[in-house]
Amino acid sequence: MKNSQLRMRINFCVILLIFASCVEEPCLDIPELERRLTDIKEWEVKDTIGNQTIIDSNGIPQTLIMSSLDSFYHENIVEDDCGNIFGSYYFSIQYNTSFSPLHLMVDIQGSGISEDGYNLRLTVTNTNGVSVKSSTYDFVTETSRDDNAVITTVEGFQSAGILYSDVLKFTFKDSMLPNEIKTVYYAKGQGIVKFSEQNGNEFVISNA
Amino acid sequence: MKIILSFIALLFLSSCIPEGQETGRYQLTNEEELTIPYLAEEIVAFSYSNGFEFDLKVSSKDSKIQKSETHHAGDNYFTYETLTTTLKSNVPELTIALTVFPLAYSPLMSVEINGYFFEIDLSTPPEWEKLILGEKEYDNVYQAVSKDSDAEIIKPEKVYFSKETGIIQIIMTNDEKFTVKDEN
Repeated sequence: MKNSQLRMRINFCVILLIFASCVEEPCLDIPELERRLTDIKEWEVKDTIGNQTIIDSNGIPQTLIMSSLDSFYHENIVEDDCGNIFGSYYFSIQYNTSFSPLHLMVDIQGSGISEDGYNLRLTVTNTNGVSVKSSTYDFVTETSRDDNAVITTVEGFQSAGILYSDVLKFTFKDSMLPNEIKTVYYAKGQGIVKFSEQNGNEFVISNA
Repeated sequence: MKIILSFIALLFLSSCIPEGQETGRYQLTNEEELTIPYLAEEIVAFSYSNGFEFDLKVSSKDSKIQKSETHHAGDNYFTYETLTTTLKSNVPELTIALTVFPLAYSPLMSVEINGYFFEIDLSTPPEWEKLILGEKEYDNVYQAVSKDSDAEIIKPEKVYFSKETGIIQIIMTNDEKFTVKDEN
């Protein structure tokens, strides 16, 4: 009795496997992927932008030091059954504050592999408190990929007299210590333009 | 089996290396300990060039016995005492650590300001016997200057210090200043 039940289950699994292997993956939508790739590349920080001065709520300036700027595109990363091939794009930049013990890192990724998709990951660290937090914005679903932060898009964000057309606002949820980074504003093509700590102290790019 | 035997032999041999001997000990005298004048839990008021005022709090005073550097197992060594006084503030997020060594070991006092290091040579006369900042006059003021010449970055460039007051002023590369508040 048990043997026949086992045999039936095995047969069922084999049939299921055969059917599953027969399901064709949809072909890559190359025009759509190209469009998304063009869009996401606009989010990388322009070459003309270097170290900038930031001023906190109390008028104390310091330098926002940019480093490790990296960008590349690998061709032929994904190929479908229809003969289409697509690549993978990656951009990364790091920021350090010259006086406060803060480090921010932005990674932008665009890929034809659906699991990777099109996203921007922000990682913030207070090196004094060894607090590291990270959250990822998904450009396809237009939401956060995790529960670490609430991420919203802000159109027409104004800061220090400058109007930024497209901005991602990250608000981290679990900020407990006063000097942890709570909110970060990342503007398309400009990079980080403003951030604030849990204690309310704001740091804004100065263009003076 | 061979590997285990080799490992045991290695352990046996390593235990044969004689331990280095302590050849000397440098301890801080009472006078040297007083080089850094801050008391535990003391609040020290500072102001920024633009008038913004904030408090630094003495968060710790740690005394340690450290071993001198050795290069080989079994080398002799000496020990020396250090006293580190740390002051902290939240806004701006500022951490200042002052470390004094026994003069017989090293005359250089270390001043670390948010990761930037300065050295004050206590064996030399102070830079100024009298220094007037604002309306306050300070006696026997030492100056430490950053060895890092990158003035493009806003960071601490000079520190004024006296044994009587402690940190008097931090001058940034953009000429802005953090100055101890005159309590008189």
